[in-house]
Amino acid sequence: MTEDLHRQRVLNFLDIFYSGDVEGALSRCTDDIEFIANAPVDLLPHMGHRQGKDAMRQMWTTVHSRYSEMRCDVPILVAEGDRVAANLRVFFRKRSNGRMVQFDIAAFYSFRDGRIAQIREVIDTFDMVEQVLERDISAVLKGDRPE
Amino acid sequence: MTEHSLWRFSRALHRAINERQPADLEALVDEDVDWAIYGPIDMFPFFGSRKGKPAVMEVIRQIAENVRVHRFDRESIMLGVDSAASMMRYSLTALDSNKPISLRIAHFAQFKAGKLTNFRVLVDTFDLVEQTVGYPIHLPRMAI
Repeated sequence: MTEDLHRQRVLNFLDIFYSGDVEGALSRCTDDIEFIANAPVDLLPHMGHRQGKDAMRQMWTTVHSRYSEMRCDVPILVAEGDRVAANLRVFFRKRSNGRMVQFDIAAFYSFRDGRIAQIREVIDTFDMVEQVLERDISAVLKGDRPE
Repeated sequence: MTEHSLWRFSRALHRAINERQPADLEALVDEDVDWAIYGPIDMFPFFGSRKGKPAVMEVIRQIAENVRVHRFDRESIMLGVDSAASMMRYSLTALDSNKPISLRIAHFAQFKAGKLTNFRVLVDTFDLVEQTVGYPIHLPRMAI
């Protein structure tokens, strides 16, 4: 079944990506791959919308350069036709101080000719930003209200 | 062709929230359901994890007291045999402030014998918090 093939392709892609093999991950994508992630791009400028392998290479290389260890669990995977949705729990260890960042991602993959043509992600961004920037944003909100 | 469990669940969920009529939903939730809406629970107490039907029905009651759903558009949906995933754009009103809120969410649902056994919701929570407080959150940007 096509669904089973695409499910396995996503799992293979995740294994390769989280092993640090950016070129291997890119080889599983179409040349015009589109990436869309909801994220505050003013705080995390490497995220947001990317199109094409060069842009993806730049973004993924930036991510891998920041973390010495990356892995993910995939508790839920749903496939239908040429699309797969994965609930990912990711674990990144910061190179700067060794601290582990952990958050959940909903990743939606679309395939074309056996390659990933689009990745859309929804992330618990409040939690992610707090962990990545190591800031208690709730405390910031209490003391940083605009005039 | 039998209707997928997601559609019955979706109708019942919105009826429970907007009309505060939880009976249909209660019949579709497994006794041992696992439920999680990821987000800051200190700001939104109805976020977080719940286990079991009574806890889930209580959190639905809390959600119904806090928001009204005006519209939702499914941007992507995948239906498995006993599972489903959707990415949606919701238009809500926060009932305490009467503020309109627009947000993107994704959910994963798993069913057994037509009943919900597992539900995971991801929300763009930074955007949600900014809309709730009514101004942009200023923090130092991460260096590229």
